[in-house]
Amino acid sequence: MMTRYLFPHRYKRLGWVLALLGLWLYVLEQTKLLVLPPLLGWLPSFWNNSQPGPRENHDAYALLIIVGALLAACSRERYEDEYIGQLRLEALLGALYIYCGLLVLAILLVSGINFLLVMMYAMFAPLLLFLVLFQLSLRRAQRTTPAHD
Amino acid sequence: MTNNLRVERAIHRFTQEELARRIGVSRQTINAMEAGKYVPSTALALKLAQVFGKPVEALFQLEPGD
Repeated sequence: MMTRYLFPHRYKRLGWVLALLGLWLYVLEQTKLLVLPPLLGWLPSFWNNSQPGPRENHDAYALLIIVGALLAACSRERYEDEYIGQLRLEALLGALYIYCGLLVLAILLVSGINFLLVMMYAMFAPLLLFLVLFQLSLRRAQRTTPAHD
Repeated sequence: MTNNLRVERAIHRFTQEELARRIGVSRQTINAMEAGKYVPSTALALKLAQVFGKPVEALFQLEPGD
């Protein structure tokens, strides 16, 4: 069963908190509403060909988003059964198709240094797409189940 | 594949919640099976047959296209 590779249900909420915190801090910093000191200044970089200096804070936000989204998407549901497992697999396949479609479009439409931006978003897209599609299918399943039957 | 889970559940006067608890799945799973959106595994079909005291063939029927 694929449930062997899932985190316990209690990590799901923690995952949402971490991911939303990372996203929120990233947006605040991008819009210059928040300026924090280097959060990962203590962490050395082993492969760096740019100017020496403390790491940018977006590394910390990226870690928060990745770890958080992974925990939120890959924690067991309260009742993790074979139907939920099927919804999970379908969401994973859907995310892969959408990701590849968007990537093909980006390759056709974007070039030059702007493609670096595409690559940056492409790092997070599969996980975030999977998370969103899986949550949507869970919501749909809950909505179509009558409250009392 | 069609099934008559809803009929059997009504005969046994089980709610979706009660049936879900007996076979260890979520209520959404029972609802999806009854609506024909989900075909259960052999293990789950056997558990349902056990709960209703009937053979699996009495609960699930193949359709011509299956």
